Amino acid sequence: MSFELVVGMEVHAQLKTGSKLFCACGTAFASSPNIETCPVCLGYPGVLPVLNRRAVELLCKTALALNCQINKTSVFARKNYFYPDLPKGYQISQYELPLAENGWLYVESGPGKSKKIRIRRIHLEEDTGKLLHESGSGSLLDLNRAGIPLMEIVTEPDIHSSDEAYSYISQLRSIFRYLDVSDGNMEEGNMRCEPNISINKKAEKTLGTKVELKNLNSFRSVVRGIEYEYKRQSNALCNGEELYQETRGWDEKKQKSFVMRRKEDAHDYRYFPEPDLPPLVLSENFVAEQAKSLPELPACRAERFKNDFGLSSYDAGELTRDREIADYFEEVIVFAQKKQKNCKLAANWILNVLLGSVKEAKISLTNYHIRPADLRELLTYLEEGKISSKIAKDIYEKMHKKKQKAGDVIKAEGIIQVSDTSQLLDLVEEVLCNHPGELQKFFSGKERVIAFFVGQVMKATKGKANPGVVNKLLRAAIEKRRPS
Amino acid sequence: MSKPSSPMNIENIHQDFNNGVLTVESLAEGVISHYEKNSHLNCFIHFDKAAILRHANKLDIQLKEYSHAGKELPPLFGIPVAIKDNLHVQSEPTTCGSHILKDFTAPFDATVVKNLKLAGALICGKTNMDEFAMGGSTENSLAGPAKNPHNTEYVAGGSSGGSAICVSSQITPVAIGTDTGGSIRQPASYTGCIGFKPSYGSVSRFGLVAFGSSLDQAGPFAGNVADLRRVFSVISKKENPCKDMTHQFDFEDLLHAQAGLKSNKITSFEGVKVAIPSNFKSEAIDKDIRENLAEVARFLESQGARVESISIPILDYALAAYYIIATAEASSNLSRYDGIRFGYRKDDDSGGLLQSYFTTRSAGFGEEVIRRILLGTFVLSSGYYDAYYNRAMLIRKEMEREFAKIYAEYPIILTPTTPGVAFKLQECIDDPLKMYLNDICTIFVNLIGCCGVSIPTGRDSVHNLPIGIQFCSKRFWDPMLLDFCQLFEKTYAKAGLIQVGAGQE
Repeated sequence: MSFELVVGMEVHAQLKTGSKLFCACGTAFASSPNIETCPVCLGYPGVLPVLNRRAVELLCKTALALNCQINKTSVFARKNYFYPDLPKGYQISQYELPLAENGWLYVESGPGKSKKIRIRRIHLEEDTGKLLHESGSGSLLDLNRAGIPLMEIVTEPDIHSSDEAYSYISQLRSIFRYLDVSDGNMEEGNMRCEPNISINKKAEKTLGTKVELKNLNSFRSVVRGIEYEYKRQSNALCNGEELYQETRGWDEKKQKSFVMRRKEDAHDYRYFPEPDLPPLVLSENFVAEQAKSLPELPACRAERFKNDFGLSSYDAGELTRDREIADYFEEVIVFAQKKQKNCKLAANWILNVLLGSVKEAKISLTNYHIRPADLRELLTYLEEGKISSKIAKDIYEKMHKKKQKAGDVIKAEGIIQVSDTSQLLDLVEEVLCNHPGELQKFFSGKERVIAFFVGQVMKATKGKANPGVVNKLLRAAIEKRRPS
Repeated sequence: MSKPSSPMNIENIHQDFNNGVLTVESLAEGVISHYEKNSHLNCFIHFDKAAILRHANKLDIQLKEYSHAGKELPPLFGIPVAIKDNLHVQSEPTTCGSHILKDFTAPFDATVVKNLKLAGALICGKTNMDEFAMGGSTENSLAGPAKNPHNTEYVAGGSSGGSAICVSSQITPVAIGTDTGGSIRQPASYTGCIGFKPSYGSVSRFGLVAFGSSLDQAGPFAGNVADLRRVFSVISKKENPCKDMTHQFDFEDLLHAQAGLKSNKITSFEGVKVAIPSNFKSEAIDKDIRENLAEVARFLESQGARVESISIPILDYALAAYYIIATAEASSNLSRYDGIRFGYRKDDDSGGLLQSYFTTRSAGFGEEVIRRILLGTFVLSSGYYDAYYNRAMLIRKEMEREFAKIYAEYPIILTPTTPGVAFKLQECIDDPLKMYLNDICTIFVNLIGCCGVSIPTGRDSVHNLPIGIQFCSKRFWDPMLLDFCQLFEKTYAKAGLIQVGAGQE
């Protein structure tokens, strides 16, 4: 029996505001537990929430970028349950009337195929504190995180593969970073993904029993978790076992999911409208301002890269994943005058060389010492044929490790590539004369011997010869010697 | 330096300060000695003599500076104000009458208290109240029951019983209470002083320990309307930056808004339309009180007002709607009392987290509070939300619409404050519904967020206990309501503070 996988994704992202959602406590990383707290976020008697305007702006921007309709009037609600990391005994969230609804995002659903994932709603809510469970001696409570603004984004159950899920969360993350609304980092906890997973017999209309999966701390875990659940649920149904609507946790070590909570034990949240906050009313002006401030979004930028610069979908996608990288790329090619092969060259160098060395240096692209102008300088030499790509790589190493500039290295070491045919012709003749055996091999069909000849010329020029030119000259010279 | 002139009101006290015949210290000493003589009334949970005198001395230094410079005194300078124990006074205990907060110290000043301090007030103690403001008798308190100064076998009313007692027995000239379903107006009526619940959203709730968030408002008790008005203008001031998003207007804003209205200034009763809901003319109201009300109505008519009886059917649902909404909000507001970050914790970790919650909360909360939390949880729970909470909210919306129409025609609504006079201690303690029924006249005011004042208008014939009547006006028409009450107090002989009988200072 084969089943169809149905996934709806819930993503919580911490918003990059200076202060918490309902009080003036800071949101930056705190060095000790419980220092970014005040009576409001501690839930002391007599306190009241005051809404953070910036949080509303950031959520609004995100919602617009995700094509949502903004509800000009939205209502806050109390989600009631008891747990030590929830100081007031309720979380201020939004329930019946969220800030935004009915948006969408296109994801990759196979090579060259894209699919629309519908976004049901986006709303604002406050984060809880953190509990550290120490075996034996109890649990420790840190409330620095309590009250930090969260954006919750919920999709319809439109995701049908773990790849689509990956594409979805990865695009979402890109958008967050483009808009600078959230760092979108799962490992740091500022982006949390909870897939709701069920399976259907193909063509069945009703949805299967769904399972909510929590505790996933990386994009990879999300993929693995979804795949695990698909297998587990499929096996269960094949064996005639019952599936339960439950919340399961992901065990990263064991690479398995385990039951956390069954439906019967689920909380009754007793949602009701928050009486301490009037309905949030946004003016046309406010929404228009957020719309105006939107930058070119990743999907659009990738399209533009494909159309204007002739890049492949893959390259365009990779370059636009992060706004920083896309900006860097556009600066590097600014003088490329839309020469597509130069754009392709720049793309390759950035994706295959630069980003690797940035990662190795454990630094951000913005702080990396090789600036777009520096890379452009190097690539210009390459484009003009003055150096070979192998030499370019060597020069790059020096730029990376010794912080030298390309031009300086080239001048110092005199490594301008030799393309001068007269110079090379002599060498070519010399090499062919010195290796009659190999020449014979070539004539008897072993065409690959030409690589050996090229190598010999390169060796003689200490790598400075332009391999393309050498190849042409060799072939011509060989043909001249061909026995008739 | 002697006692202030009688009756003790702000104008007289300030006059005495300015004439150099009274110091803040001697006034404070008077408060202390008067309280000590009346300590059996049990109106305070917390009363720190030394701190009060220290503060009084500081104020006396300022007083010298003010008189020296010939400067006008701040509006409440040196005036003793008693504060209900659910409003934070920084560094002093806030117990809300509950064991679960018996050792809790206020981390900041409530906005109301901050405003009072800025106006130079002398904060005198935290007054006794029903636990978490849930009650109508000030019997449900960790400090024990408070007693009616007119007859100590009777309750003082609640939940702001302590504050009402302070003013009624003239321990302090003014006091602050809070009103969610009548908790200022009812005790004012039972003890024979004046109590005012301002419009919802005109006084900040920051620092007021929440019971029913959409219903709670802090407000003043006083012996006369001028003092009531002065305290309201001080406590309603807006804080910057904003700490309460439901605090929409302050007194200055309201005055300003009403300055343009033609019909807002009440200098005579001529032509003023007053409505009496016919619901409150029935046998549910004591005979003496009905007669008292009729007398007031006749007086107003004699002064040119047009007093009309109107039927308001939806009022019949007010009590039920209130007890659903208030308890729902309370069940949520009181979830934070779990013994984990502050407050009482019954140390018993043996049963795990859930058991710890059960043990602490069962031990820390009194019976009435537990009753209301359970009821509130029930009406919000899955399967019952629509039938109860949602329906109550719809009734509330309907009431707002209905009263908008009524207030469009009648600027003043007149009702008894309570269906009966004060009852005996313990009389309603085993019958919560009987206790709840005492709220029928006051509760609609909280549901629709409008303003209401209770003014004493006589005594009943059986027990000689005070009777109060209630004037209400449209939401945010507080200045106009206060004008009306001031005029009524001036012209109706029986209106005003009912002095506690002879034999007490």
